[in-house]
Amino acid sequence: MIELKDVSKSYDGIRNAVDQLTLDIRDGEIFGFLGPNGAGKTTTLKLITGLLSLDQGTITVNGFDIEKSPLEAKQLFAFVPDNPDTFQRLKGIEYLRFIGDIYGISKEAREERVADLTRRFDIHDVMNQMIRTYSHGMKQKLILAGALLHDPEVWILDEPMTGLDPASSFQLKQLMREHADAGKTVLFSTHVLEVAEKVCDRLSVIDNGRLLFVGTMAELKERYSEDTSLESLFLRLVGEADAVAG
Amino acid sequence: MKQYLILMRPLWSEMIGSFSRGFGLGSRKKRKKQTSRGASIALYGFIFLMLSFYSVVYGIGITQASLLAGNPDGFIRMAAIGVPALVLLFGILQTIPTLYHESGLELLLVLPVKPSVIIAGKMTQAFLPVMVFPTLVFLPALITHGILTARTWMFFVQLLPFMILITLAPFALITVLVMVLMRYTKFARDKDRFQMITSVFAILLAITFSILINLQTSSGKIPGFSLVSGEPAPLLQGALLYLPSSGFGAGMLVHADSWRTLVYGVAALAVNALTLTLLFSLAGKLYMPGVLGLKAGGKQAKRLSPEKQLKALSPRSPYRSIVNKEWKLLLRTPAYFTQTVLGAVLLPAMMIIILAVLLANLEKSGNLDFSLINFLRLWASSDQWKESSWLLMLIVSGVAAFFSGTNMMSASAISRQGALFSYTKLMPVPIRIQVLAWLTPGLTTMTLIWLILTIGLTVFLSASWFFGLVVFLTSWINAYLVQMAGFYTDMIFPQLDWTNEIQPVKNTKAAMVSSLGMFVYIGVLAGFVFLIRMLTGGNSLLTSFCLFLFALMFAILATSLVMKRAGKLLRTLDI
Repeated sequence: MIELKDVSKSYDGIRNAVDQLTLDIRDGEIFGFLGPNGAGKTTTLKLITGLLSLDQGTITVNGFDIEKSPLEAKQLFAFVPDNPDTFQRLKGIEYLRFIGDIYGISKEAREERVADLTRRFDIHDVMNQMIRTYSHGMKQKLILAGALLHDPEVWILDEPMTGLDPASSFQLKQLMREHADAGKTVLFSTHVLEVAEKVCDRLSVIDNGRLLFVGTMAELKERYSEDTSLESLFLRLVGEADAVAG
Repeated sequence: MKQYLILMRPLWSEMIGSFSRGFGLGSRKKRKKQTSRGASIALYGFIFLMLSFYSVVYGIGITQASLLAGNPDGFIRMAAIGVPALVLLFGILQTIPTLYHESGLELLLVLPVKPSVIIAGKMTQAFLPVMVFPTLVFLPALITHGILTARTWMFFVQLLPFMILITLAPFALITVLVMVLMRYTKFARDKDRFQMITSVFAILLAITFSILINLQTSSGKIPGFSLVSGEPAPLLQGALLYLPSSGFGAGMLVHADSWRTLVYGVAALAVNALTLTLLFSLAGKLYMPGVLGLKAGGKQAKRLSPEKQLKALSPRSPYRSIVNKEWKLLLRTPAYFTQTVLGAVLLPAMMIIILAVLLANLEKSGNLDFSLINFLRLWASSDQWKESSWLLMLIVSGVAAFFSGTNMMSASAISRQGALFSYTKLMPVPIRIQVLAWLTPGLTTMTLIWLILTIGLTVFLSASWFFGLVVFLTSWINAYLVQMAGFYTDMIFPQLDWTNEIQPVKNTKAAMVSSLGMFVYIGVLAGFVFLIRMLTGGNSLLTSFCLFLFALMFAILATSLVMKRAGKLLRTLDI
């Protein structure tokens, strides 16, 4: 479970990239984080993971405050960034071993999970090659495998579908579902509204750092009394917010 | 021309940015406070003054020696050879990443701009940083030389053209060589392997050259004497013969007071024009296909067998895992390897070779009335060294600080991580363990180097093990202190937004503090020793004790500063 209370962050001290955001992401759900470019999605995810420091508010991951108890919180989640560049001169297997060591994964568990994940993402053949020789999609799959290696309680992904082939994209969606069904939390940001519509249990829309909507797809449709696509609803929501701000 | 100027705008700011970001002067993304213009000017001024000071000092030294030897032009010839040697070293290190491995290169290649314009822009971007260092090293020294030897005004007017003329031609030739290799050799296409081999080759060549220059004797005189003596030294003359731009450039300065300077100047200009024509005519054919033919490198590796995969996954502690990763990245990344591991190991080795050969030549030449080696052995093996232990400790401290200052492993430990510092922030590993792991490669290397040096020195001088212990402890504490100072600076001014791998190990404030700050430290240390000797009436034991305590105190201070800063680093450094 992730709880954000009154969270704000500004890069320049003038304009808030995230503005008084309050949000609960529950156990056992896949939560989609939507918004146009520059809305504050990546900033929010970086605040949750401790990559950025908070200006105001609190964030807890399964009860651990990311600022006060960072080690305990970090042990619980895994983060997949939007850019899959990682240690270019490590081999795939070396990278996974490194992640296994850092999270203290037992010998048996890492052997089993590495075999399973590399097979599911179809990267078992390239484990002995340096990461810099991988394609964008292969790097993304390696990062995903690394993130799932310690079977995190909370899985946070920033634009995870970018660069993935259809089969891997399908695998990822399946893994997200399995993860949530096991009572764990999945939070991901995306531009691909069809994916959000199909995969998410709940979703939120953010623009200019402010939360415009949070709820289920059905609740969003109910709000506009329309049975239309998420794309149309998203555009209306963001359009309204821009009109108010303008 | 218009397109070239437009293209140079981003390339110029990229080039300046790599320097100024490195020194913490430029604006950084998401940075709240920007360093003031005054601070920037002050810092640049300090760097300039520092290098100029050393340049003037050796300019005076060599000129005086040349005058004594009756060869007032010796220093000009030495500069004419020294600059291309530096260009060879820095040219290859700078040219390969700038021309072939910049992250923004692909964006440039898709622009609707003529290839010749892109080539001209990239060449300019590669050349200017290569020109800066030799100019800072030699120009103030040459001005000093001109004043001391009472040269005419024409000499001073021609100094800057001289620097350009003797830099440009060798740079153009090196660039042609790189482009030919990049275009036609198979091994060059694997960018890591190519950069590693060429960098090591360039460094070894430059070192061999400097050793040969130092060791060339003239009529059985002291090694290196021929550089300043009036007699022609075969290697120096030969080198000038094969480097016409340097030969003509030197002639231009030597004859600055006569019409012949014009002839030499025109000749130097013609050689440069010729090499530039060669460069640009070949660049059109070689550069673009070379860039487009690059691949990330790395042979197709064999698939791991299940047994090997199991072995490759065996667990380690987080500390061991981070250290292992650091070593792998240091050894596998050409820019890191050449600037850290290779330099750290090669410099002591090179200095030992030079010292050993110099001593052997001195013994052979019979210029001294006694055997220096025997004298040193007698001094170290008896108790005599204890009476001058302060001098031994001062020398060892200085050498240790110098060696450690050139070893950038710790001073680049944070900056090397670049954008991947996010891993550091995400790891559920206590910061003290991470700090220890980042410091381990630098400290291990320095410890090993000094262990070997101490054992070698103790055995060679037939000294007691107490002598060895004093040497080792003194060297280690000073090496440790310099490593910690570099690391601490890197923690305060990390450069994480670099675009090529040479930047985090060369163009950072920490690199500057590590490589130049040691000179300041050595100076302070010498001043402190002489003060204590004055206060204690020349008591050797007390001075030695105070010297050790001085270094120990700073080492403890540096350690506590590092540990204090570490927690803040993770909290405040936004990624």
